[in-house]
Amino acid sequence: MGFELGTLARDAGYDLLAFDTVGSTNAEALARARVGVAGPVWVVTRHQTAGRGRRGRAWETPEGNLAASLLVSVEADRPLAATLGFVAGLALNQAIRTVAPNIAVAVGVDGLDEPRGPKLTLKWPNDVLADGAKVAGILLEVDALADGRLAVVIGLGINVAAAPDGLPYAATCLKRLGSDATAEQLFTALADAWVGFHAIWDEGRGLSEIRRLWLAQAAGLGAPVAVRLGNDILRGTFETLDEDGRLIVLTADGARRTIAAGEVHFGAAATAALQ
Amino acid sequence: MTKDAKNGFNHDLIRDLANLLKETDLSEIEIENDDLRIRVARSIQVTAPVYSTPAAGSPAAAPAAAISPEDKAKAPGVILSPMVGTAYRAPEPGAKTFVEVGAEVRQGQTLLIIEAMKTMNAIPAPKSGVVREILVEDGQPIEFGQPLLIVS
Repeated sequence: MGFELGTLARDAGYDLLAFDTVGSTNAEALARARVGVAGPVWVVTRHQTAGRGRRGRAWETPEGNLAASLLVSVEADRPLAATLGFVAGLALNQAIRTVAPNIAVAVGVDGLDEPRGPKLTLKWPNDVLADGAKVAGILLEVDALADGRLAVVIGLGINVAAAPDGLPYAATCLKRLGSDATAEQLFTALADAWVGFHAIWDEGRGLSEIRRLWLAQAAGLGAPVAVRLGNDILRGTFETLDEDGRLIVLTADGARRTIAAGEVHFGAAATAALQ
Repeated sequence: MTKDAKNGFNHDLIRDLANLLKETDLSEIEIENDDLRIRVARSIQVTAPVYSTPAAGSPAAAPAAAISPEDKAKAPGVILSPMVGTAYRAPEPGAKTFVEVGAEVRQGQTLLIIEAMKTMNAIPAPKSGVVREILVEDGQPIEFGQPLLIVS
């Protein structure tokens, strides 16, 4: 069985490009943007050989995991385009819940009808954690198109069948979390969930709603946070996100700092990390 | 004195009162005459002295340059940052930089990357030319509108 778009994604006009094996789905999507493909098109594989994470870090996609990159063209400016990462995180959490019902998405207060099981949260800016261990990473790449619009590639790497060992942080996979969902099933659910959250985002007009939904699933709200900014380390409490989705850190001396970029560690990791 | 038949206001009277207000430097005059009451008021702005202190924790001042950043921002061919973030001069740490001073670049070519919220923004050359100056360092935090490079 191969990769398929869900009904919602097909009806909304999304295209699909599936590979058995590919170097990097983000690189494939970007290459298409540069020759004029406007999207929306998903580039997917269950085996990536040169996947990339932030700043040249490798992202392993062993056979059976999912690497999916969505190419879209937007009228939005660059700071707004970056908020599509929140849309992706929300869509991915919903997709995981669809194919792995035993895994709960942490929304607000625990309801009695929530299934008992690992809890998914979103780590700023856009990782998916299950009980604090990384299940998925999201990396966006943006380039300007000749017509003045922006090409945005939203790359999602999801540990479905396996999680890499020897990482400096805890990682897990859906299989280890008790799900037997395949990469193909997860992708179909993801492509459909994306359509829903993308409609809420509405070219950025619905960002406040996206922010609200995201904060309800946020990891580490109110907990210690450490951010590496150039050569400095900022420590404080993760207070909230500002209206543009940037991290607001409350420092011990009562100052509020707005963080757009940086290596971020939450909770217990914030105390141990970045020594 | 004329009286406006339409709305019953005496414009001349109000104008006189307004002038009186200015002359006397008062903030408010109210008069009552038969069934007519007029209050004329103005807001007086009190200007407090403004003290400016350098913000604590702001990035260390750049070494004294011959030309201030304000001048660079207006230089011909300057490329300003479209966003707040972190600048990277190479696609990944240790890799070859996108461009160096003196490099010929064509329109659309990536000059550097600005990261914000795990989004890597390729900053393209708006037109073909030669890189005259690079105004940022690898890993440097960048403000909106900050001059990045000069290509002419």
